[in-house]
Amino acid sequence: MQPHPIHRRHFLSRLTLGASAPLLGPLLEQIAGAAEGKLPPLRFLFVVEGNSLPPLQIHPEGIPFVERENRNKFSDTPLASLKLPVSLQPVEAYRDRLTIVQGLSGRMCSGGHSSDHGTLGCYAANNGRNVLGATVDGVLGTKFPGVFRNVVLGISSNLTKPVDFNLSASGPGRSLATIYDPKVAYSRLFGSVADGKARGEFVARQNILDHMRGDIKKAQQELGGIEKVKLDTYLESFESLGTRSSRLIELHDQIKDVAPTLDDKFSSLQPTDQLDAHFAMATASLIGGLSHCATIASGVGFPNMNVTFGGLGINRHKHILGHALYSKDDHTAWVECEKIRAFHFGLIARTMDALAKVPEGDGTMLDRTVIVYLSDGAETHHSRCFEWPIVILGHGGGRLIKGGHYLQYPDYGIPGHRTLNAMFNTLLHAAGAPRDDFGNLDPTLDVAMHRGPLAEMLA
Amino acid sequence: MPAHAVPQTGLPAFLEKHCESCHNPKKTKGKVDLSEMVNSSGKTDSELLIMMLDVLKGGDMPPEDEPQPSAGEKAVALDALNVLLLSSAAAPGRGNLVDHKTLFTEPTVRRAATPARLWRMSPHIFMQYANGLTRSRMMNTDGGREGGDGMHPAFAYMTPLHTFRDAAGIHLFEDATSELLFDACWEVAGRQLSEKGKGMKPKAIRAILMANPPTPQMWTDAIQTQFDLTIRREANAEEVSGLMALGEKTLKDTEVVTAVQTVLATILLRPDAVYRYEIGRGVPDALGRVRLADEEVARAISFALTDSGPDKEMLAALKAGELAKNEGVLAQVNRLLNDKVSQPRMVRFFQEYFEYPRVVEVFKDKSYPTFILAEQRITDADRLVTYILDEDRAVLRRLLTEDKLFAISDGGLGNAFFKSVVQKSYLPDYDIPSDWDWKGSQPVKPAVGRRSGMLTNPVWLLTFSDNEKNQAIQRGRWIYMKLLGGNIPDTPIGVDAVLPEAPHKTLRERMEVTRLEYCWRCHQHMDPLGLPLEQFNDFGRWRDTEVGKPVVTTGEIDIGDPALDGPVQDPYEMMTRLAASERVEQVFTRHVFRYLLGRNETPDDAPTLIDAHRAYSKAGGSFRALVASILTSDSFLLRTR
Repeated sequence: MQPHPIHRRHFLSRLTLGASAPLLGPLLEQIAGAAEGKLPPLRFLFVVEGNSLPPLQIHPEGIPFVERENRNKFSDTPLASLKLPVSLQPVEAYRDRLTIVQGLSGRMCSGGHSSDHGTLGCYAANNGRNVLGATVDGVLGTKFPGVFRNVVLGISSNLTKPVDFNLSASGPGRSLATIYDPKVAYSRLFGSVADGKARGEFVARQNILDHMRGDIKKAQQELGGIEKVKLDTYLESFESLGTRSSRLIELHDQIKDVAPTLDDKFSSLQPTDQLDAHFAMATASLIGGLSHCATIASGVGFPNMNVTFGGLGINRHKHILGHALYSKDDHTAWVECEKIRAFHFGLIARTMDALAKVPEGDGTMLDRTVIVYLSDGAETHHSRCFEWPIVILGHGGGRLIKGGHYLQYPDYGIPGHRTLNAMFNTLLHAAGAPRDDFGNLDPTLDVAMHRGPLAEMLA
Repeated sequence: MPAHAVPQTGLPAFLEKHCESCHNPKKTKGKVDLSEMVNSSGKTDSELLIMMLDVLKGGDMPPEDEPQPSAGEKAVALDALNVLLLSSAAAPGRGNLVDHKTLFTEPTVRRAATPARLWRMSPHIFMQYANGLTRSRMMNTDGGREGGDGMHPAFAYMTPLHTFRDAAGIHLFEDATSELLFDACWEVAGRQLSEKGKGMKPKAIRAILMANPPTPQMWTDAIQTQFDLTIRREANAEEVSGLMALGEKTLKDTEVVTAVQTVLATILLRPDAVYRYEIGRGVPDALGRVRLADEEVARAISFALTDSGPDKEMLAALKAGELAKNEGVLAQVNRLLNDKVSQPRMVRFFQEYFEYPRVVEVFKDKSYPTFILAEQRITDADRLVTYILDEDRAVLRRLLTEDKLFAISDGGLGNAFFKSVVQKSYLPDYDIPSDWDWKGSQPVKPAVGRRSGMLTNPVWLLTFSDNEKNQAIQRGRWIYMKLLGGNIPDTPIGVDAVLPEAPHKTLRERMEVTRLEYCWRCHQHMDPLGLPLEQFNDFGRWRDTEVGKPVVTTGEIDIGDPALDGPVQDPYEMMTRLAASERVEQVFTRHVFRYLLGRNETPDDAPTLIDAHRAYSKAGGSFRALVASILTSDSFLLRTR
């Protein structure tokens, strides 16, 4: 299996802007668009919390919970008169932008502890080993790049691991890196606005990038076609890094305004602190236009999921919680999981608050942002992906339904049943990159159940 | 002509005529849709190909009541499928798709060689390299068994499960990893200049750091020193002047130390620093093959046997021109093999082959994870491997039949807590009494039950178990693929691969669901090989009952080899038969080849495999002889372009 080559060089040769600047085209378009009063692309924040989201944990009080097997038809219940569950209470202020979606299946994914890249990609990723295609955030990032196509940040049970390749992907065999170390993420995203020594280093690093391109081209000539893909890819990655570095300098003032304060949370070994720091950076990246698509991977994949949320007073890790979740006699694991989830929604609410403060067009940035929350482990600890609960916040500039809905789809295989693919089709339609066939199919279901957007979700 | 270039005439036509009326996107009979293959014969899903070969060869398809293809049509289709399969066989984990018999049949012409290539430095090599350059333990050298701890993520192993990790073909630096590599090299260069680390910095580095501004000679010396340490050759004038210009340009915005760091990091990032060049040099032979350049040989052997570049003796042999001849290469290979320095990498072969370091990923609900003492189990298994490797006789046979094992082989029981965990959880799984006297020598025979080599070792059994049961299917799959050389496709998408919950049933009884025709097609190859190991529970402990019933350990080998095939009563009979098999030895040889070459074998490698297996047998089952034979083979030393 050879890795898939990127044919960005063809793209470059067609670019009249000159300069080896793979990201420059779309970016310049955007800048030109902004000058003409056009709005930037919709923003997306994906929050993927490791190891399952039981449907009951996002079920509001006031309507009876219907077990999956008994869901015979589609239903749409207004949230207005219902009480939000503990997990979702932190986003109470945004309940008119909240849509809870129950009953989508995702059996084309591998299931188990985690569906890894399949979670956002709709395929069997086989513990992250088979990255069969771009994930939905990867597609959005590629189609609507900021300085960074994607910003993928996360936490792991291994609190000193700097990075992993466990959730997002830009194409087949191309996993995106999830940056775990908040300090590494900070220097990458906001290093250009640092002061003193750090500033000198930034220049030095840029000089290396320039020099390296020459070195690699020379090696290409010397090797005359041997291992072309490896050297082309190496060159392309340096070109892309160089371009990005220049853009970060050009956008200095804009970035300086939004860069979070580098406080103790960035060097903390508490998962709650790290998550807090990552949300702050994701939010700043979205506001500053560093990226239009950010992803938070909170303990995604095995064994990353074994996070202990000590900062919330919980002293056992999430694998143990996952097993204890359904104990009939002991409800503590259930309560602890709700607490962890509410913590995530608290950080989501903070991001929404920040976006709501920035004017954009006729409204605010929040109006043009969609936040998607789900788990890599679908509905239960050892998932078989028969249902995959999802929470959506935001209407994406009015392209999605306004919010305040509790949507419940018919059970697996029953007419009207829909899959995770359709949800991602919906997001891509809203973003202006419509797809009707995202990801792989579950061969036991009608193709139509996967296809096209969820009509009920589009405005 | 390489195999994969054979024209694939006829297959799309065959599929359209005989298959597509049922296996189309609408009907997808048997959950198979062949429309894409009909439309584009280049679309190859190896799982599907194997299944198609199976049913076509076996006459199961087309169904009896449908028009049958002629013998000629069928032969053309089978040939085309085989060709497609061979190109899939280069992928890690798919090596067994190459016909076993072909690989051990002497060809008319010996044409073995490896395509010229760049092989990305492995994380293990990078760890040694970075620590050496920085005179520090920049990276944790204790961990790193599973690609996590101590490994730099820029060099992440991207190979699939069950395969040897350092595959040359698939690892490259792309956007994400190049950025990480950049950070790593920047850090290494920074540490090269810092006060941290053992010993003195090289003279040229010390000199340039003291200067302000540095002279051209100082730049030249520092650049040459870095080339010597990393690229292992002298920098040419053009390289020196380019790097000097980079240093001076940077100096305008930074202090000297940062400018020097810039230059050193740039050298670390050169393609020939991060990739191992295996290009070859000289006039091609009649088959278009050239031999690796001597310095490439020195590096290739060193990295095949250790995680470090050439040592002093190797460099001396290189200088003396000894590596231009196979005898010289053999002398160096034997020297390293007989030295402890090669032990870690040789043990790692067995770790990756048997996969037991994956035990750290096993979760047991009822026993808090740390009580499994996963790391201890790995250490004890490593000890068994080195014990057998040190004696170097009948290595594979002993690894499959050894009735003794090591338990807490690295010393005493330490503190009281550790002692209580060992006595309560560890020793019982090894069938050793809790009051066992530690002063005795190891390995020991368990007091209860019986063991037969690595596949009955508690570490392996635990690795192939999950939260509440044995993974009999995965165990069978391991045996089928890694001892018998068979091939099992991945679980098809949409298959509900979960055994029913039934607390009163044995695993064997619960596995009856795999007997459904659609499942059994693959499970017939795995289940009967994995079930004899039901002799042990999911912690690796010997047992004679399961859920209150007498344990059943029967199984069957079926690979089409009369010396192997037939029912077995228990794991001991199975292991004894496997251990005595020539085919199993040959399959083992194929795996050693993959590990050392960083790629799968092709039909052209047959001579290498034949010679290696012969060397192993002739030397009484010597692993060292097997390795030495492969490292002096044409496959290892010659390159095609």
